[in-house]
Formats: sequence, C-alpha cells, structure tokens
Amino acid sequence: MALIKYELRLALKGGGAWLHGVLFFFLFSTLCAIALGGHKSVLAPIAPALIWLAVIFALLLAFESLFQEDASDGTLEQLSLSGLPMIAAAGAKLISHWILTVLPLLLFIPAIGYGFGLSGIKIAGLFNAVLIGSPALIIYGSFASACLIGYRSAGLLIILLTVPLIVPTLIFGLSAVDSFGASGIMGAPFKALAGISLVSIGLGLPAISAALNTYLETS
Amino acid sequence: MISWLANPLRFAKFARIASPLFALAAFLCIGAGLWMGLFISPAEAYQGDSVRIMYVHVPAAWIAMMAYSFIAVASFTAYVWRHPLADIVARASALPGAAFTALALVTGSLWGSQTWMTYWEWDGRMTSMLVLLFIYIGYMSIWAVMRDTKRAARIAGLIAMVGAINIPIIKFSVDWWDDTLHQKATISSPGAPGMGPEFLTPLFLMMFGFSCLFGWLVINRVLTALAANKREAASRADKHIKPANVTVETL
Repeated sequence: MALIKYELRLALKGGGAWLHGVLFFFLFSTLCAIALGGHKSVLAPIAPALIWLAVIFALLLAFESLFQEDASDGTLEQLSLSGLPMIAAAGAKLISHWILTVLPLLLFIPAIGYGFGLSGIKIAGLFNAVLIGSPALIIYGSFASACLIGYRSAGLLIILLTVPLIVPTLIFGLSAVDSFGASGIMGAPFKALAGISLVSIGLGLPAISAALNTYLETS
Repeated sequence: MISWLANPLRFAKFARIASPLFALAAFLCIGAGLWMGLFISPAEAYQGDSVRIMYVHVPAAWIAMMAYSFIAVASFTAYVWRHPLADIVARASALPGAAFTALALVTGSLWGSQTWMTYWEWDGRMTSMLVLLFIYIGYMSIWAVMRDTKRAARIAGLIAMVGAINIPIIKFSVDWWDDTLHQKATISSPGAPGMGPEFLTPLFLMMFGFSCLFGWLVINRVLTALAANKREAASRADKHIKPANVTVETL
C-alpha cells in the first residue's frame, strides 16, 4: 500500500508524464474523426474499435519507461533487498500504473464516445469492457517492459512482444461492447474478458517478478 | 533420454549418429512424398490440381506449431533444471520454426489464390498463424538484442513460456472471432469426412520428412552454437590464464 502511495506521489510530482496517455488518446481520436470525415453516422459503427485501438496505443506508449527509472536509480535493488517479495512489489507497481494510465482513459471514454456519436448503452459497454480487459493489457505490456529493462529503444520490441498477447483482449473487448446492450456484463464476451484478465494476473505477475529478478541477478 | 543428452559432449556424440540419420530420412521422405504428391495422388474433385499444395502447406503448419511447443518445453526444462543445453536447443529451434510458419503462410496464400480466389483473407486460422509468426519474431529478437547470453536465455525462456500458455487462448479467440472460410481440421476432428489413403500417404510422408528436416536443422544449429561457445570460452581462457602450456581438450 505504501508503495502504491509512493508511486502515485512520485508521478504527481513528475511533471505530468502520466497525462501523456490521455493526451495521446485525444489526439488519436481527433485524427480519426478528421480522417473519416467527421460525420457521426460514419464514425459511430466503428467507434468502439477506434476507441479500443486508442486505449491500446496510449497504454503501449507508457510501457517503455515503466521500470526504467526504478532500475537505473537503484529503487529496484532496494526493493529486492527490503525483504518484500518481488511479486508484491511488482503488484504494487502495476496497481499504481493502472491508476495512472487506465483510470484517466476510462474517465474520458464517455466524452470521446459521445464525440463519436455512440449511444449511451454502447458507451457503458465500452467503459465496462475496457475496465475488465485492462488488467491483461497492463500485465502483458509490463511483462515485455520488465523483460527489456536497460535496453535503449526497447519501445518497438515491447510492442512486438505485447501485441500478440493482447489479441484475445481486443477481440473479446470488441464483442463485449456489442453484447452489452442485450446481456449486460454477464454476456459470454465479458466472461471471456474477465477470464483472460485473471489468467494474465496469475501468469503475468510471477513472470514479471521473474524477469525483474533476472535483471537484478545478471546486471 | 533428455537428461542423458543434457551433457554437451554426449549430445555431440549423439548428433554424430543422429544428424545423418535425420538428413537421410528427411531426404527420402520428402522426396517420396513430393513424388507421390505430384504424380501419383489424384487431383481432388473440386479443387483440381491445386490441392497438391496441401502436401507442403499442412506439414509446414504442423511443424510451425510443433516447433513452438518444442521451444516452450525446452525453455521450461532450462528454466527449472538449468540445463544450459536446453536453452541452446530452444534458441536453435526458433529460426526453423519461424521459417516453417512463413512457409505455411505463403503456401496457404498461394493455395487460397486458387481455391478462394484471394491471396489473403482475415480468416481465423490465417490470422492466428500470422500472430504465431509475430511471437516467433519477438522470441528471436530477444536473443538478437541481448548480448548477455545468460540473461537472454532466461528472458527468452520466460517469453516462450508465457507465449505458450497464451497461444491456445489466442487461437480460441481468433477462431471465435471468425471461423468461416478456412477448412476445419479434416484429419483429426471427430466425425470429420477424412481423406482417402491416396491423399493421406504422401501427406504423412511429407509430415514425417518435414519433422526429420526440422530435427536435422536443430541438431546442426545446436552443434554450431556449441562450437561457437567453446571457441569463445577458449579465447576468454587464453586471455586470463598466463601459463602457456594449457591444453584445451577438444571434443
């Protein structure tokens, strides 16, 4: 808990880098609206896909720096020396990262959805789908990031390693938006999405802490 | 068997016998399979002669998936029991595996151009093969960028294992997303129509031949990697050890 608070305080003091994702989210959406002619009748059918893509790209941007600073200034070493299990430290890091990156995006999804002409029920579906699917996005991206700590221009490699792993989230995330109107969050896509997120937590957290420990052992 | 092979010396001894055997078997099976596939097996009723692409396409796709499972098992072995040879085996399997994945995609595209009248369609199986190719490229790029082989081995192993657990999920989700165009598994599905023996014989010959080809490639890539390691270790030893009369024993 203290670790989460520490991360959040650090981010708030850090010149607003955590806002880059939201900024990107808006820029991407604006460009999409301009490129597609700006008519809501054209935008609305593909808006869930566009917003999902915007969310994924905005999150992918933030992974490169996720562990970089902790690794270079020794925070990571201190954490491993503190006796706290690495998996707990990684979990705290991920929760704070989720709060800093996904939460702001979630808050602006209704606004962008409205701008793209989505109905209220679709916006609610999208909101819930991103909410339930986001743990998998964060975890697989963080895993790629933890694997590549210390490499310059790791950005593209992180994307290359992350994208195959988040394909299921995108697929079920999109069909979850469609099914929300009929079956709420109890529809099959939502269950699949929640399952994928749970698998990612069970699989990803040990993998992330193993990658961090590998970095500490071999650097 | 596996732990017996874990010793590089014994592996080299094994490879001296196995490598030519694999090469011979691959040569004979692929040769016989191609000959049967091209000249003996009949053209299929609906697809005509283009069905012959199957004898390359299906085995390639099969090896593509087998090779990844092989990498994952080898990585797991290396990760849990710290057999350094298993890492080398996993690394050596990646490029042939990726090549067979690409071969499956290319032959599939050519086959599709004849039967579906399109080179590419975002169909479930094609898309998941493409994603598999991305996973292979990601795995190989870890080995490519990391100078420190010890770290590269552990990280690549982690990535291979996480990928292996995710591949069924990806496969399932992509199939669920779109399962219209591609023919379903014809041989293994329960209640599937199946194929006549005139098609199956060359197909299995090619599968066995491709497997042997894969095995031969992997064995030789492992031997190359072992030789490179030894040379590197020898040059490092030359630098650090002063006495001149140190004999480095060769295999």
